[in-house]
Amino acid sequence: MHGKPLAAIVSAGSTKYGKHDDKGAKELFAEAFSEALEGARNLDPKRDVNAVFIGQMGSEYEYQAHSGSWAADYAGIPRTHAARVESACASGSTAVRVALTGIMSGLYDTVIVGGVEKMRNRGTNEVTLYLGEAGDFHMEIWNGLTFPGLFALMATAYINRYGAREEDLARVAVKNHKHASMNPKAQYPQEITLEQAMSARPVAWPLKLYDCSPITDGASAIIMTRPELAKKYTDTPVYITGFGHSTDYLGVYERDDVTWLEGARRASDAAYRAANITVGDVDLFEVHDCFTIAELLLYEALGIAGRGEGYRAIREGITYYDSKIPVNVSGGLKAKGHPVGATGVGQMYEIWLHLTGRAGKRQVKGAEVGVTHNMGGSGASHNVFVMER
Amino acid sequence: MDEPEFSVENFYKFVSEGKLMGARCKRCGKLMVPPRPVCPECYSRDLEWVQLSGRGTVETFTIIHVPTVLLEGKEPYAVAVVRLDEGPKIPGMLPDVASPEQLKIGDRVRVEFDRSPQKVPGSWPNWPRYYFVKE
Repeated sequence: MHGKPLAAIVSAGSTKYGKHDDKGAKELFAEAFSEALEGARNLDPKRDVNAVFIGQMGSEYEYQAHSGSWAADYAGIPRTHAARVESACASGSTAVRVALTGIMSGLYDTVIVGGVEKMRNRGTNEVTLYLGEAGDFHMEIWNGLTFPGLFALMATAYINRYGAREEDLARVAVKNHKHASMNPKAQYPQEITLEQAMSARPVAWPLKLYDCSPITDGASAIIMTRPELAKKYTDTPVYITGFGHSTDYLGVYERDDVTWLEGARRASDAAYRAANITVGDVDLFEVHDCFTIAELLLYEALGIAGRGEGYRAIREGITYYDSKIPVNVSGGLKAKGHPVGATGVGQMYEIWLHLTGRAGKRQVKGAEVGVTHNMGGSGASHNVFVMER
Repeated sequence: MDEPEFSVENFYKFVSEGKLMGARCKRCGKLMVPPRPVCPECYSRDLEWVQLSGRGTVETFTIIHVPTVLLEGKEPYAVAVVRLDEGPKIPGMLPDVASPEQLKIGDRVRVEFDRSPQKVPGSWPNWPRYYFVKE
């Protein structure tokens, strides 16, 4: 291990991401939590767990807020410390951050962290308005923007400045669908061709259907504890050895350079420094590809590619699961699905699978160091975690 | 004295009068669009309303094909980030631009106003809308 363990992940679980007509957020969380609990030896939540944090962006979908309380109840510990944590699409990783600081401070020994979003009960234009709440309502959403639109603003500028092509965006989708075809919990495990992606209908030009992550129901959960307690609950703990976080301007229009995610750079710098690693030490990344352009911008912000050169990395194919720097081996938000509040926790579930040798056909062989990057809104918050075994 | 509150609500009230307004910090000179009650640079609350020319340059843009429920049926339309000649950037619709061939980065635009409150689901916001046209 490169860094000092800050907390241990002793188990993790996840629902399939997709469409769950007969389940709401409560049942989805219960399913993910139950799977995580089964993997934690000798763990009795009623005796051992001190807190429950749940990442969830929207209370509009099911007219249900106050999710900390129901999540604790569904975990069998209705009278504990709990809260719903909201940071838009970074809600899940922010819940992990809250749990981590609680463990590091000595306040908690063991914490259940969930992430959930129930979305498919709503129509596309309704969901588009709810997701828009992660941007600047007063100036951006009121004036016609949508979530895909905000990332399209970045894509137009990026293509114009660096000579990337719309095909380069599509290549990200092709890769992530290929990865999803090996993930039984992915929403869209179908492989796609470059031609399919390029000929799809526009959502927010230059972004087309396959440039966008889908609307998804799903939940993920992890169980975290103090490093010295980890072996009580598992023989194969995974440790968080670094984390970094930064906010940024809420509105895309407020940022000097819309082709650069400064918050992601700051968060990843801090995480790498804390874990005493460089990009070259990382065996796989899960990054926030809510739109294909985001994955290219994150190659640059996280140091996988130089500034203005992210599109070359996907042209060269170096981020496939069996290549130099595997990125989004799960299928990413793009093809695994993006149940918003669950995503940050689901990324850590994916890294946990690889570091414990459970990732099946898509297993990155011998993986020892994984990095997650979860982004809120159009880049207005970022959480990066370094995980090691 | 007696300046209207430096708020988004009043920004849109000025839009209903056909004016694009910002707030200028009288201490450090920062121009805020939309206005804020406290300058984020020097924390002064000594501000003044200033009218903007409404002219600017397209920095980037998109064509929206799937809008929110607020603009259902108006698609396709463009939204650009416009660098105003006075410095700040703001997003705005170009309702007449429906395809990327009709606009490019660097194009000059000027503001226009749809002064009546827009129809929305629910009871808020009761705002008009500014928008841009190519010069």
